[in-house]
Amino acid sequence: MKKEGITKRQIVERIASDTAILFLVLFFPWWVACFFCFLGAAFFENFYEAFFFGLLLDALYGTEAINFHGFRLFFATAALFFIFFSVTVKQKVRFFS
Amino acid sequence: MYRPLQTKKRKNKVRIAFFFFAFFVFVSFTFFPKTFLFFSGAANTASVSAWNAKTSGSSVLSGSASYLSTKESLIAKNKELSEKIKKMEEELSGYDFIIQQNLELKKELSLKKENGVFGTIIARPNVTVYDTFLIDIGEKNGIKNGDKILANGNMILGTVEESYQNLAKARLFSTAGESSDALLGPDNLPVQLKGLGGGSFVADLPKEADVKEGDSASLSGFPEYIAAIVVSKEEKSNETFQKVYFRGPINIFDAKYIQVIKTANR
Repeated sequence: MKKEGITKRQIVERIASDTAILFLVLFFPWWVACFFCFLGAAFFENFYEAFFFGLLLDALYGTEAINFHGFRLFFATAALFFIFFSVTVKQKVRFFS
Repeated sequence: MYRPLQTKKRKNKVRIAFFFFAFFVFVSFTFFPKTFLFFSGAANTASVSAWNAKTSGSSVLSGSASYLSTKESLIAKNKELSEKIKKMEEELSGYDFIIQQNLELKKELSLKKENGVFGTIIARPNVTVYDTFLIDIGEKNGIKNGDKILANGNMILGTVEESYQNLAKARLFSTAGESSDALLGPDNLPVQLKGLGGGSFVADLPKEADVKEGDSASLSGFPEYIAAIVVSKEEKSNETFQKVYFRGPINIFDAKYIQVIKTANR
């Protein structure tokens, strides 16, 4: 019977990927960080960290006047929608089940 | 059967808790902007040390990398740089006239010399999401929201939007969607510069307007600073307007240093 639960290796992988994405948010173009958040959501279960990276992008690079067509929390909102849909899609797609 | 169902229930609880937390964050950041400002300030302050480390690390690495270059790559680099210098000398000949005109104008109007604070750009496009600069000077250096950003002493780039203790965020005039009133060329044609992002602008002008490549535009209220330079124009025979494309006065993807001037008295 397969043992459920998170292994130590999975925790290390997750922390390493979060650190890498944080590095990308700070030093690389925003779309690079977004792409790797997308990959993280595909490979990890419930990649909630994407929401915090979205918030970070909005906090670091946006202001009251500098935003996406008047919406200041654009990346955080996009990350939230993406997390929700990735959870739903992964439940339906055989590759991830 | 019982164990997987319990695990699934726990996962659903975590998901619901996360979405409630996200909703709470959205509501507080939207209806209480000061909380987002505080969060933004903390995030920027924490990131400044990382950005400064990257800036000093890059200069050390680029110095070390020169020892590893092959002879062929050095020759190619030399050729590329020679061509670049030649191109810049050609551009500079146009700027000499503008600088001379600027100095004469200042003498005539007896304008007071601007005192500004110099700063280093620690994050720029493409790293930043919009056309913004993050600079390493802030409120402790006397920077306030609304101050203007200059480069090379006579080129105006943008406005300080948010200032923190050790950091400031400046919005460039070329930010997509941004509109700025300007005066173009020696005839001071009034134009509205529309930012396209990436340091570019566009403006609609009457077809009969005499606009040449290399003409410079200055912002209304700041006639002594160059805000944009004409690079091309697009005319259609069946239209009464022509589209004129501009570039910013400097390459914002390479810019390293800026000057912030106080504009409260203007």
